[in-house]
Amino acid sequence: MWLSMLTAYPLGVALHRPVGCLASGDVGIRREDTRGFAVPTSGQDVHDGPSLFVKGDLPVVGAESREQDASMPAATPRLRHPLPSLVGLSALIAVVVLRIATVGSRLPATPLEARLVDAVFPLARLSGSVPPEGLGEWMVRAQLGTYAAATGAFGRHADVLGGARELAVALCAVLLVAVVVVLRELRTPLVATAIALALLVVCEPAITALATLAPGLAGVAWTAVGVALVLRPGPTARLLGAVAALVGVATAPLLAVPLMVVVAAATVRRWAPAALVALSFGASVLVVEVLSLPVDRSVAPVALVVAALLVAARAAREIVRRTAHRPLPSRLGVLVGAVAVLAVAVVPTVAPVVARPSPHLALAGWLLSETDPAATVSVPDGVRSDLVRDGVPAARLVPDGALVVSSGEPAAGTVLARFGTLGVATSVPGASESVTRALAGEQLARNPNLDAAPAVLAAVRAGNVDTRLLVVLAGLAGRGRVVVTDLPAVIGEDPSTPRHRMELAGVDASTTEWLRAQQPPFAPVLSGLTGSPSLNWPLPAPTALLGR
Amino acid sequence: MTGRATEGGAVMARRILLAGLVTALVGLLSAVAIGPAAAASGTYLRLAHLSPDTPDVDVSVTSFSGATEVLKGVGYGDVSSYKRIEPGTYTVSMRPAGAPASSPPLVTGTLEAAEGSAYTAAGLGPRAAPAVRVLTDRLTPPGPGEARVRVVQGAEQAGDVAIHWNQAAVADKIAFGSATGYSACARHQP
Repeated sequence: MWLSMLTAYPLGVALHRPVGCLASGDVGIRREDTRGFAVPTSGQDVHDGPSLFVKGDLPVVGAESREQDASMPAATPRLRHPLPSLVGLSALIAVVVLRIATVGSRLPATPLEARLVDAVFPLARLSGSVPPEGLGEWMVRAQLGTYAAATGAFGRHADVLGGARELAVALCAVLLVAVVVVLRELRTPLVATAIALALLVVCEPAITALATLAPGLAGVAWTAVGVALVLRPGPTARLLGAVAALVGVATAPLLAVPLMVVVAAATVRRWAPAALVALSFGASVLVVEVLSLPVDRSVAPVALVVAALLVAARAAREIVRRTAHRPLPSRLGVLVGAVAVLAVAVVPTVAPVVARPSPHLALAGWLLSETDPAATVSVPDGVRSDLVRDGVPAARLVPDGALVVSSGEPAAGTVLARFGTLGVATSVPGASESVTRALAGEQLARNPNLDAAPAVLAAVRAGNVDTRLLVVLAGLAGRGRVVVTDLPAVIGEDPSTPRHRMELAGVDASTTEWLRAQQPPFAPVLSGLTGSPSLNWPLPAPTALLGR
Repeated sequence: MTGRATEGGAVMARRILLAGLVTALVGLLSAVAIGPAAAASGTYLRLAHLSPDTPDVDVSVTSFSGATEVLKGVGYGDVSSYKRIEPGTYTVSMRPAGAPASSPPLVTGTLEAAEGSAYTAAGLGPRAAPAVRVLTDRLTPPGPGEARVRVVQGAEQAGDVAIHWNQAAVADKIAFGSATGYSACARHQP
């Protein structure tokens, strides 16, 4: 849609066309002096009544103003081939968006994003979520939920966060197109816009600010769309623009301040330039910070990026204007500079990317295969939705679980396993039973009915074996000869976690029946072949089983 | 009025019966505790069936180091005599009497027997949630003029019970399935 909008406005036309007004009643649009640029051939934008003309950086209400704009580019060349130019600009926007997506793919989740995905992911929502912090977060949750439901974004990435980042990328694309449209309405040459975009690509902090989903990004994107639409002729576009701006303000309430300044300036017909808007916005941010008001601050960096983009484009416009009449080498220098910046921008974009680690899949597999299905698990924000998507029942994921998953070192409890950045521990420290297990294991290792490899016997003798496994193995040895082929370690588990898997050989039907007859907490989970079963005792292991 | 009196009498009779059972257990445990202890050293184990709604059981005691002993047909209220065992770790499993060894055990517990100690492995609690409770017995004789008493509450319908010995309270509010520690009491002087 946005590209088609761009196509509908060839650059030469937009450089000098009147724009819509912000004040109610001033809806008249009239054709303006083109001074050598293309003029719309359609008469649909020509109306009677007061006109609003572009004068400098911001729209101003002027009654039949026809004075010359001093800042107007005096010699901006008309594009003879607008389509290639627009294709080039679209490609540059695509590069910016790709760069944002690339950076977003390796950034960890922000606390807000973690809350967002857990709140919005449909299955995770069944087990409850944290209420939104303010209207802005509620709005973003609604937008993310709608977007994910419509596009299935949560299902096509390595983690659920990827779905949220996809919306961030989409919002950035919309934001950039809206900014380009606004720049065109401000008669900014295409090459100036391109230079600003190229600078944006190489500015890592700016890209990072745009790569994460937050109310600020969504609010600025909606507001930019609103402004772009309001600047378009026709009541429908302005109405839609007003609605979009309202959505933007509702999503990022801090944007209300600069918007009100713009509207007020347009109403009194004496507008101050961007500095006033910036000052008002900065002051509002300062007030919010000083008073610690419950207002989302994420709009500040995004707004700063957009402001920098606009300023860069306007500065580039000046450079283009001053070099337009100069000989070819000067213009060529500007062009070469722009290409060089673009080249520098492309390099990090196409370079190999180290994707954000996604240990949740291994964690989910471990929880499903190695832990008691009745054991509840508490997880950090943002991990719950991933685990639910990976198949862990949402009912197991509760705030105060028997197992605790943490991003750093566990505050308490006994560490059981670690998967990348995620560690798993028991919620309370278990009594150290290693000495008791070693005493029992020493006796079991001497049992003449136990036939096992030296490594297995060593593990049993050292007490590095789950108590339930010891008890069942003692029972097996009490019935007759038992062959233990392995006590395999489970990938991801801490070396201090006692072995809780056992592989047997030469097991007859009677022994299998005996194993199946065991009762909790000693009953193992049997799998594998009939004669060579694999036994597993899910974690967490109960304590004080020996000698109770 | 008469009906209530009859019902109250039945309840009283049942309570007296249950209290008698508890008392019998107390006496049994305390008497046995005093009996063989003084004469023997080493490690001893006896088994008790104190789960009232659990049928007779076969109790198997398996040593981690290899030996297995099976005591068949143990009924409610039965307390075996002490059997000398090797110190070490054991599993104690109870199955319905006559059931094959591959059948599900009613309950499984473990015992860590230390040299010179005596233990009672008691099946306690209701059948729905039985447990093997290992009690460490004191086999040394009590002091002169004293007796040593420990209460194991195995009468579910009695609820919490209180035990008095020679008009003196030995224990109070003993819940079903629990056991007290030893209390020293003055011997009864006839």
